[in-house]
Amino acid sequence: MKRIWIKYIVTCLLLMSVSLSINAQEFRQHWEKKVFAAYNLGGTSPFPIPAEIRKINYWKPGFGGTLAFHLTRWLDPNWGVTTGLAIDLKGMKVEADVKYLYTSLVVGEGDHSGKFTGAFSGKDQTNVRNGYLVLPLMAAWRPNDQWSVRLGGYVAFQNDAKFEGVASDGYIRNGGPTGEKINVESATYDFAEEVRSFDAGIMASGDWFFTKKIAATAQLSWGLVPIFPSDFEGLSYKMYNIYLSLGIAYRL
Amino acid sequence: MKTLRGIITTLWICIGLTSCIQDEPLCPEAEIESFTLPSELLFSDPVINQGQNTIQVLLNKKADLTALAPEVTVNEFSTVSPASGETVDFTNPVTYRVTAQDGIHTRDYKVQMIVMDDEDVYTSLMKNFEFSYWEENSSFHYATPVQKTNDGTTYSIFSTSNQGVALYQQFPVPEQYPTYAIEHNDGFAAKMITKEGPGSILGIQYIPIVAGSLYTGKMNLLNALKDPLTATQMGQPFNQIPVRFTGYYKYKAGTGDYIGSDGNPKPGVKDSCAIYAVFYRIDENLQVLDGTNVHNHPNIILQAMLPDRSSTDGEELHAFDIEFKRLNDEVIDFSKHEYKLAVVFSSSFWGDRYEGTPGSELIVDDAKIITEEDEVVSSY
Repeated sequence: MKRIWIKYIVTCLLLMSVSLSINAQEFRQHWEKKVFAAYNLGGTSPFPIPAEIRKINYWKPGFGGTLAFHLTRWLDPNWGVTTGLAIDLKGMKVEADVKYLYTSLVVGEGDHSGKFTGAFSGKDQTNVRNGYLVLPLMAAWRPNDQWSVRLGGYVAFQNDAKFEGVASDGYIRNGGPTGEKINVESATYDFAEEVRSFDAGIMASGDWFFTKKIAATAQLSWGLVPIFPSDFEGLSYKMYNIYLSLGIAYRL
Repeated sequence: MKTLRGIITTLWICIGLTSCIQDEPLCPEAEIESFTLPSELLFSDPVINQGQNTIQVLLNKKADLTALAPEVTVNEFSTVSPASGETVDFTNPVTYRVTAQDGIHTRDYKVQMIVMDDEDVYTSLMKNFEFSYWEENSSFHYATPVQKTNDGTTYSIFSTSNQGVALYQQFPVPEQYPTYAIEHNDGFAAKMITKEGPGSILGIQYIPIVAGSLYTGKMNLLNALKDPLTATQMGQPFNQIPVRFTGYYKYKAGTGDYIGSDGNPKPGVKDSCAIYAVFYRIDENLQVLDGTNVHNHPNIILQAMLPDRSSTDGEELHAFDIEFKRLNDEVIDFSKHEYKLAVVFSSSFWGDRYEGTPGSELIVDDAKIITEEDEVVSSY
């Protein structure tokens, strides 16, 4: 009886291991396709924060996220290469108290537009939502079937920009900090047309498959190209897209 | 999920943003906020022009120009040299330098004192406007006419719309601004031209047109974005009774549409020029007239307004000779009250409200204020 019991167990274990190895074979296929949807948290932000920014009054991620398709070519059981395509909406709303912030704003329209240049002290509310088409290229590593991590870079092409704001409750000094003081109750600005059409940076992501098909996923993309071109004078500091995407991945 | 998001959000803000807030930057601002002398020395209150970085003081006859000790206040953290209360020789203009807390930014104010000791000085500064001398602003390159006494001292009593325009449009040469000098009769005359404006300014103001304008007084941009009419502060101290306002002018109204302040054409409206002067009493409620009240403030006692403000014939300048008319019966008493006189020229009468026809041109030269004292002198 005992032997039969043991035989039964051994058979089960064998069967299990065979079925597992068959599953593993399926999982560990050379090509892996994955789609994921994630919510973007982060900021289009100077880094480091310049001294002119005195206080962040609030920050909201706003409506923004990423929809991605990732294709991984596994070269061996642990290592692979990932590429893909993503639609990425990077946005935030932030209000900061600023002091002596140098700015040069294009005002007016067409032939008669000009520049308003000065050092602003007061509140600055910025609303950003930039849409990108993202091409990642990352090295992939998986220690086991539940986990995989990726590290690499991305290039992105901006196809829809929104970068606007309100400067309020302060004053600007015409031309610079030693210029004439002009009160600013509430002034709007729009830098959308200035946003660079290209972005590139570092990308890192991690997947945790809690079922065979579905994973919790986190992805950090850290832009290394300032979002405004070098001749842009609206802000005295460089800003970068620094976003963390949190979402769900589905293995196809 | 919501909690998770909250935690991550908080972490992200803390790590990514707040922890990186740096130390407060040293203040780069440098400004003289007040400049005073004992009132018995003053002909009129010192005028600080923050746009031109000048301080001008008209002194009574008894003031000793070689040894004055003005009290000066500057913005917090900055320092000024010469120091407040220091005795200084003002025979020539003196530069007061304000150094900001950061030690990098400095701002120089030219302080000029003029003793109103005789009628010649008074006339050349306050009554005769030849537009012969212009000074170019070093930062923005617009020009402003200045007055010159016989001994060669220059004094700014005029402001132009250029200073406001330069806020949002900067040009490399004075002639591209709406008010500038043109050659006339071996000297210079003032030309003003109405131009198309920039449109929307940062969502605060809509500026469809900008008119050339020239007036005695100063432009104070502090509240210019919100209330542009308060920026044009018109009037200089004046202690004679004006009788006539004379000079030469030529006006050509623009041929296109008259543009209203909303940017839409006003059919049937013809542009007209502004040439007028007002004499008013100042008191605790009224230090200076501005665009909101220069036509109708009850303190205006005398007004000289060009009767026909439409285009002139031909290419020559035409003489104008306008009598000051009384707007009320108030007794003028220089021993009890202080008075100011504002002289205003503009290529569009309602230009300060951003109304007019682009292309309207006004040229003025050799304007004079004739006072009762002049009439008495000339009758001898």
